[in-house]
Formats: sequence, structure tokens, C-alpha cells
Amino acid sequence: MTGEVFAQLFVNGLASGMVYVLIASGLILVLGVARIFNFAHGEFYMLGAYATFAFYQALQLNFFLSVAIAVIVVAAFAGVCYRFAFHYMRGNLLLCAAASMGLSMILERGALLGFGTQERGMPSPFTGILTVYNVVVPVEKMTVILLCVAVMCGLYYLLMSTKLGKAMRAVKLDTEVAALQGVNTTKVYALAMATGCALAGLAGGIIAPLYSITPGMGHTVLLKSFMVLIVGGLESMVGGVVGGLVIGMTLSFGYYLVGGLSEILLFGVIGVILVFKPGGLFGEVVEDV
Amino acid sequence: MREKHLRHAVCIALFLSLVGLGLVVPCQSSAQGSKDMDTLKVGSTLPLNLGMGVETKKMLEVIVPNFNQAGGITVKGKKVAVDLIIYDDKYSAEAGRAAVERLIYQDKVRHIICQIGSAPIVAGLSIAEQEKVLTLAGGASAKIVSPGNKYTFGTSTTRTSIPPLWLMAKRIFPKANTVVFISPDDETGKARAAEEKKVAEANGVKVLDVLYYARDTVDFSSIAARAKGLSPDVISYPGAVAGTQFGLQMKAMHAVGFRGGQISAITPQMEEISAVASKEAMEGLLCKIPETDVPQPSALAVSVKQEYMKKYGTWSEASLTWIPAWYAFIEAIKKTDSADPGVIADFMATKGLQWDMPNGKAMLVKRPDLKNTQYTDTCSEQSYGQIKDGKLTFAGKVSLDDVVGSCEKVFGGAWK
Repeated sequence: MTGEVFAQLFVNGLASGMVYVLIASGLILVLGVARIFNFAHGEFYMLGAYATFAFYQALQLNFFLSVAIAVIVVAAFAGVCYRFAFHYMRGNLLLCAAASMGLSMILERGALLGFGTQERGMPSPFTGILTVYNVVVPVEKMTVILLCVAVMCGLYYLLMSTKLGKAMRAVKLDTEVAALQGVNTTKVYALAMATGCALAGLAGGIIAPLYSITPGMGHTVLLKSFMVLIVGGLESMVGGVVGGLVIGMTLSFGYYLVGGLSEILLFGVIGVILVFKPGGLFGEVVEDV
Repeated sequence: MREKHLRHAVCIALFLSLVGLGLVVPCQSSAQGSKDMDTLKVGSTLPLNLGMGVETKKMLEVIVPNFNQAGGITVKGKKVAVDLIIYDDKYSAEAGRAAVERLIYQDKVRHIICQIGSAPIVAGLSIAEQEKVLTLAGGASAKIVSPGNKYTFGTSTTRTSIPPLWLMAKRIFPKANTVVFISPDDETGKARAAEEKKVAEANGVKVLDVLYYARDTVDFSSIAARAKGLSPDVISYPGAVAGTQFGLQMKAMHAVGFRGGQISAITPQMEEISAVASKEAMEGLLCKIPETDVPQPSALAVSVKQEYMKKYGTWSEASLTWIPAWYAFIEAIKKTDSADPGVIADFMATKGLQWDMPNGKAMLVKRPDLKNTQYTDTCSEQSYGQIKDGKLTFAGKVSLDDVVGSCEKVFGGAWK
């Protein structure tokens, strides 16, 4: 493996890893704050991609504007789903998971009926290739990395420095105490769901010009997102970041080194991590008393 | 109050789950025959999750009703209309087998035509053979034309289009000495890669590696990096699907800096590919060009294009690779004056068949290299093009005799 190939694989791994980080962060937010194991998370990613495609391709809007509107649409839809479904199951993890599975099926079939079975592609607004010291890197990959980093910085600011973020962290730590302190927990749950799904929608919008868009695109991404949670720790944001990068790099370098066995290599890496850190890299092991 | 909330919650959860399950409805389409004629039920399974499947369905929904309206076919003095039933096989073995079972046991069809993917075709093959159902299938797998099959024939040219392709490739890329294949990791991809490897090596081109990818792959960056690392003169894409995914592969190869030749045995769906790949990424790709886009297309090609455009307003050549089975089926019925699968299969296997289709003249051939001395596979005229500045332009044609000759040279034996 030459230096140029290594650099290309590193950038590829970083780009796909950052997308997994975005999606997993949303999943962690929904699980940690709203207490919903959201099996429809991949479908919100898919909705974000289709919404971006619709605004960019059909309505000919600017790409960033298309993504922004798509995110708002997905967030609003997630908020509605929370209010009219998950709100009534608050606190019951199993019931919420079951409902999210139903929601996942509805969204996927709805997309099939609405958009058809064909794969859609959209032209990349970031064409061109950067050549730095013989390393060839597509502009769109660099754009994805920078966008994801910016969003994660924004998410960090939201959670650490804003009133809403503090409320979310308080609710995550102890809902009852947070309520006693005057936090409107219903509103926080809904906003957590909306924000978490918006992150998935944003990832879908960012990735839409790079790959194809299909109604079933959420499934693969959901599986990888769960892997990120397992590797990083179920409710750890830092874990989500590290887990996403581990998954992205393993797949990128894995294919180059072992070809079609890269998926097996991925599971092997996860297994090794869990042997030494059963709760994930930044997670906690819950022991039976 | 808490109990009321819980009851609400359970109801909503159940409702969402049931609605979700209830929306899982299989795709089905039927081309109805005319009410004044006898009806012959014919089945097909297509990958409706892929562009080529959708386009093939659309094309069949044009040519079959038009055929029926023009009087259908005469069998033993009676006019017969074709009632075509199409199910979605999702390009998978599981769904393909289920669709074939449904066609045979529920819809009672005795003929299945125009299937595309090897995985669903091979999965349903044993049932079709067991129930003596005539199957005229596409697909690239050699299992479709294996000697044990009595009622199954390969009617697309996916297995026999590689020798003429490399005949043309050596003309366009005379200095190419090494190639890397990028293929799907399934029945079709492996069959195509194996055949193309044999042909490439017979033409003096060394195959450096075959890189496989899962059918649902969208990120080809790592595969492209690995292919580029091998420094081939050309890249070939055996078994690739003609649409968006193919565009993503070329995009990835261009993104890693590959600037050599590119070869494909299929006709790219330019609209889908252009949506994801830049002109530079597609530049110079040698591929099949549909008969409708050659300088002097046949009358059949022109009429099919006109009928399609009359119904849909636009044109797509994606289905032309997969509809030869329809024309072979009609020609076989005419020749045998019978709709009996056994009679048709016997005739085709022992006497062969020649027919016209939109992509040119075609004929059934034997496959002595696969130990099948019956007429079982298909060769047809081949026209090729190259993508120049984002447009597919005509590059040359190989006649039916030359196609058969090139296949005999590579694979051995007498095919006629």
C-alpha cells in the first residue's frame, strides 16, 4: 500500500465514518433523552435524502438550502410522530421499539409508493478533484467531512451551552428531578426526537449526491448505526464519534486489505473491542444485583 | 389515568405495526388479453427494485397489448391473446423462487419469459423444470443452459456477448495488456467474471484481479482504490447493473485517479448514469449500443421505439437486452403451431430457432463447452458504442456469423 493509497482510504473512511457519527449521534440523542429505541431512524435518513433530492432536483433550489429545508421537514415530521405516537408510550422502551418498527415499515412502504422502486441519483454540487502531493481526493468527500464536523460542533454547542441542551442533559440524567426543577419534560422529549431524527435526515441529505437514493437505503445504515452504538457505548456521544470513525475506517481499509471479507473483519474488530470493553469504548456495563 | 394512557399506548403501537405490515403488498401487473380471443397465460418475474426491471415491465406493457390488438398469434387455427403476469423478484433468490412458485401453482402458467437476474432464475429453475414449464430466461449463469434442463433456454445474449465485445475492445484499446474486473458478488457477477476472464485471456489480456462487491453497495471508494492500486490498462465491469450503481462505480474509479480504458458488456442507462457520474468519469467507456441508436436501425427497432414513446413520452433502451425472450417465444409458437411447453421445448432444443428482435437478428446455439449439445443459448448481432463527451456514439458492429465464430474460437466446439 503506497502513501497515496493510504491517504485516499483514510479520507474515504473519514467521510463515511463522519456520516455514521451523525446518524449515531441522532440515535443516541433519541435513546438517551427520549428513551426511544428508534428502529425507524434509518427511514428518517432516507426521508432526508429524498427530501433533499426533491428540493434540489425537482424544485432546482440551491443544495445547502435544499438540505436545510429537508432537515426542517424531517424534524417537524419526527416531532409529529412523537406527539401522536411515542408520547403515549413514554417510559416503556419495549412499546416504543415496537411502535418504531411499525413506523419504519410505514415510512419505507410510503417511500416506495411515493417515489417508486427505482434508484435515484443526483448530480453532485461539489465536482472536481483535489490533488495534494499526488494524493487524489474528491472535493465532495472533503465537503462531507467538513459539513459533518461543523454539525457535530453545532451539536456540542447545543448540548453544552444552550438552555435546551442543559435541559436535555438533565432529563437524560434523571427525568423526575429535572421535572421538579421546572423542565418541561414533554417538550424536551419531543425536541430530542426531532433533533435526533433531524441529524439522520441531515446525514441523508449530505450523502444524497454521493451515492444513490432508494426506499431501502435506511436498513444498511441503521445496522451500521447500531454497530456504532455497540462500539462506542449506548448513550455516550463521545463514544458515538469514536465508534463511527472506527466503523468507517475499518470498512474503508478492510476492503482494500481483505476484499469481500471486510464485513467479517468489522465484526471481528467489534468482538475484540467488546472483549476488553463489554459496554463499549465509552459505555458502562450494567451488572445484575 | 395511567391505565388509560397505557391502553392508548398499546393501541397506537399495535395500529402502527398493523398498518406497517398491511402495506407490505407484492407488486403485480397483468397485461390483459383481448376478450374476443382465447387467452394464453404467460408469466414473468422482474427486479422491480432496479431500473432495468422497471423498464422491461414498461416495455412488455407496450409490446404485449399491441401484439394482442394486432390479432395475437394463431395456434391450430385459433387466435390467441397473451395474458402476461409479472411479479417482483427483487433480484433475489428468495423472492424469485416465491414469484415462480406463485406463477406456477397459483396462476397456473405454463410459460415464463423475460426474467433478468441469474439469482432469481436459478432459484426458480428446479420448480419450472419439475412442473414442465417452458422458461425463456435472461441471466448470465451457466446453470440456465446446463445439459440437465429440458424446458429452460437462455434467450438473452449475456453469456455470448463477451467474445465479440473483446473483439471490439482490442480494436479500440490495442495497447491494453492488463485488466481488472469489478463484479457483483452473486450468481450473475461470478458467472460473468468467469466467462469474461476466459475471453480476455484468449485475447492476450492478463486479468490482474477480480474485485467483488455486494449487490446493494453504493460506496465503491475502497474497491476503486484497490483496483487503481493494481495499475491495470483497462477496467471491465462484468455483471454490472446498467443504471445508477454503474455510474457510481465509474465515478469512484475517476475519483481515485484512474484514467485508463473502461469496458462494459451492457448498454448503460445514460440518464441514470449521468445523474451520478460526470462526463469525465464516463469518457471513453466501450459498451453495447442499442440497435435503435445505430446509424441505420432495423424496422422492428424503429417501431418498438415509436410504440414506447407513444405510451410514455420518453425513450429508454434499458429493456432491449431482456425482451428477446418475448420474440423468441412468439417465433417458437409460430414454428411449432403449438402452445404446449413440451412441444416447443423439443423443437427448440433439436432444431434451434432464428428470430428477429429490436436488437438485431438472433439464433439459438449449442454450448458444447458446457457439455450441452442441444440448442440452448442465444447469439445475436452486436453493435458497440463509446461514450464521448457524455453521449453514447456508434463505434462498430459485429455480424451474427462473426459473433458465433468468436464464441467458437474462445470456448471451442461447433455451436451451430
